[in-house]
Amino acid sequence: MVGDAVVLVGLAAAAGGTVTGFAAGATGSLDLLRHAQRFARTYAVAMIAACLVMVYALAVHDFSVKYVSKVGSLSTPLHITIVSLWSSLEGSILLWGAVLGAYIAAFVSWSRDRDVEETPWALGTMCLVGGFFAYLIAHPANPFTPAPVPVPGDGPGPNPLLQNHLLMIVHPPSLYLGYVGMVVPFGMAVGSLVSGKLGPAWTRALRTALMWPWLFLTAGIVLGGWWAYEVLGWGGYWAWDPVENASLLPWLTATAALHAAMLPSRRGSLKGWTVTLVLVTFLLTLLGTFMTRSGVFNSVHSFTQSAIGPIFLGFLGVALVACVILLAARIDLLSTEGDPPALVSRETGFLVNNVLFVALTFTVLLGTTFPLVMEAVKGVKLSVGEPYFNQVAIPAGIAILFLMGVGPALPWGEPSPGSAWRELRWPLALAAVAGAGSIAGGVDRALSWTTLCVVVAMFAMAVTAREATRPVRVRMRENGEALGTAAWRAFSRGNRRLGGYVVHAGIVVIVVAVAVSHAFRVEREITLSTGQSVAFEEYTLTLVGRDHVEEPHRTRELARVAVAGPGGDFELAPSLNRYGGGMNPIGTPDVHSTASHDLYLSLLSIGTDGNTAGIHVYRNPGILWLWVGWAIVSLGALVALLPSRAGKAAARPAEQAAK
Amino acid sequence: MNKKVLAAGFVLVAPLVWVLAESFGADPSHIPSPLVGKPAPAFSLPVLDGNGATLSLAETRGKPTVINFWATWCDTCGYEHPLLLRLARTYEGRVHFVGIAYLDKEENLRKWLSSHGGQAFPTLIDVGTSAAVAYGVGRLPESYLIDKQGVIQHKVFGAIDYGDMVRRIEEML
Repeated sequence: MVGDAVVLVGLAAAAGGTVTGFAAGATGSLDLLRHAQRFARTYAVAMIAACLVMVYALAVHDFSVKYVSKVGSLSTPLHITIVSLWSSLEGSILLWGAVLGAYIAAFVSWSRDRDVEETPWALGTMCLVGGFFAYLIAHPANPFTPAPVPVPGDGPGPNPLLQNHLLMIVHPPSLYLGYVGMVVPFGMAVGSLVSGKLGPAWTRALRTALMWPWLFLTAGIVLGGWWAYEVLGWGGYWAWDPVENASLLPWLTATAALHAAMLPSRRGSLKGWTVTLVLVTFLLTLLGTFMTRSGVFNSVHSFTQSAIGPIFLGFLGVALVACVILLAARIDLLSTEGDPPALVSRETGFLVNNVLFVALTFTVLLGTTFPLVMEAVKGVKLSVGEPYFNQVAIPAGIAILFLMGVGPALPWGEPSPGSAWRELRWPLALAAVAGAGSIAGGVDRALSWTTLCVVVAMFAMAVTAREATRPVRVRMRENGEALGTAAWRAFSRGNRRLGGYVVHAGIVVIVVAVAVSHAFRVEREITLSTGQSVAFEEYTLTLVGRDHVEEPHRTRELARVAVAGPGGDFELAPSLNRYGGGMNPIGTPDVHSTASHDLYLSLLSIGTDGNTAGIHVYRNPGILWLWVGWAIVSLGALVALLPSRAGKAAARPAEQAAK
Repeated sequence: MNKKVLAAGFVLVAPLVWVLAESFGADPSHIPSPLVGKPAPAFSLPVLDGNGATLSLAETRGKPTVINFWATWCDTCGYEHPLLLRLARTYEGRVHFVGIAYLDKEENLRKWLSSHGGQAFPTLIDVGTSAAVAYGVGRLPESYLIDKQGVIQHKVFGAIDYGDMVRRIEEML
């Protein structure tokens, strides 16, 4: 009852915010804009309150609420009970609404002192999207529907996959924060298009608005891979599953947009293109949500056939058409004068970067939707596998890595070929030495993709390190500052730039880890009897015995394996877990991580006599560096998001001009 | 209005929307059953709370039969159960209804049935999942419509649709 009422308040507020926002945009009335901001804040409060009401119902096991009776269980621990908020369709849409409310509220407080022409249109658009989600929660995906009478005394508990690992507590919300957050840049881009303006302050704000959800989306993708690695037991972290692709697609276009948005603030060019990328990013998050939630794809992620599918498809269709018409009608207002950039310049680097990202997006989108096309046209079931994606993603990834080195090394404007060469020769030489070294050292015999990737990565890393520290070196040389002072001043004046390079460094680490973990992985299936030993790479594995553990919400069968290796002796215990009822057991692998590689054991079966265990053993090199790389990326993004002195100083006159 | 952008936009957007709309509603795990049109595989299984009695497919010959594979751990089965009860009561005496419990415990079945409106037809225990294997059950629930001669006329994936079932049963009567 309370939940329903709050959601309806949210729906009404979103409708009010949309109408007053657009009216304020059309009339330029400041009063109407203030109303729209009030509506938007009410929406935020209502949606967050609705979410809290559901969390409360879950926590007190109120099985008279249908959603609680569906995902709650008296035997699940409290933290899992709260997590079950997003374990099923209705709850996850509710969380979606709350996150959207928080983002819109953040935009409102940011835009309060910035009454530029774009603001009311942006706010109206955000409220429109918010209203759609409030409608989903109020009607077709209403989590507050009462449970059928008689009220059950207990429920089945959330999806077992959700209960299996702590990472599942953070992976879905990070993705939501990433997906939902794209509504803010989307609204801002619509504001730009409608008003025909994309000023420097607005562009800077647009980048910040993109950066936050980008940070969360990156976290969501990596944590999803990490979870798959730690839980699913097939020894990998990425499988080009449609839903993984669904999260990668907006990440690719958002990354392209973050780069494209650096050009307008420099040269005023590419405004229309930047705005287009932002619109596409938002549309891809909608597509991703549809793909995940509609049951169109067979995947670990899909919730079964849901009622919101057709409504969501309708919304997606309308949004797509509206964006195309809006772009066609207004993009000419944003397109700018100016000569095309010089062939060898940083601008060109940005352009090629964007072309590559967009090409990669198309490839992944095509591979993901191709099975649907085939089924619709020919009625054939097929799936597009890893080879297709890898064939395109590997060369494109290496090319992007190469640009990551070339781009920042090149000066803006029109550098002479000689100066470009001077900037590039040392990093190139270093990369060549690394490549020759790895071939000579027998790491990889021939010139393979892996070697090429490592070589290009060395080059990109060398440029990144040099460019990141350049302001410090310049300060020390020209102002005679001490290292500490120079570093601090460079950091506080150029944190966006530094943050960007730290992100680049993190990406280089991730790409190398991906390449190495793929190329040099060793795996084997073994069957061991109790007491029996087997040699695997540098380890000796011995089955010590098995354990049967009863926990309130699951029973676990563990195989205890003693491992002797160069780093000392330790024990690993991969397990098969069963959750209430007769559901198929879900494996939890056990992993021993070192800086160079992981030893990864996945339990396949325990013999009926209890004395044998089938185990899939993997030696996965470089995995730890994936997570380290992600930590570096996140750190870099946060550094770039810190308010910078240079940014503030530049923003002030621009805002006054806008006023 | 920039006509080039408009045209390019629609060239990209239209096929995407068409494909999504087209695949929508299709169950991705739906694979047509090769058993449709063939005699239903025979079984003889113990009846839940039947004091050791068994029920075989042969005993249902002469009337149309609906076989429903289900389990207490399957969410959709709970949604479907009231519809099955209603159907069984509507066609009482004219159509056989048989539930086959897949990978489940007897005490769970009893508890579940009593909290879901009871039984209107016998529930069999699929010992060693032999029936499920013979019928090629892929995902619960699944229902098979078998005619008077013992030939499978239709397979329903997932929860049944009441109206659809009535139409198909009427065809077999």
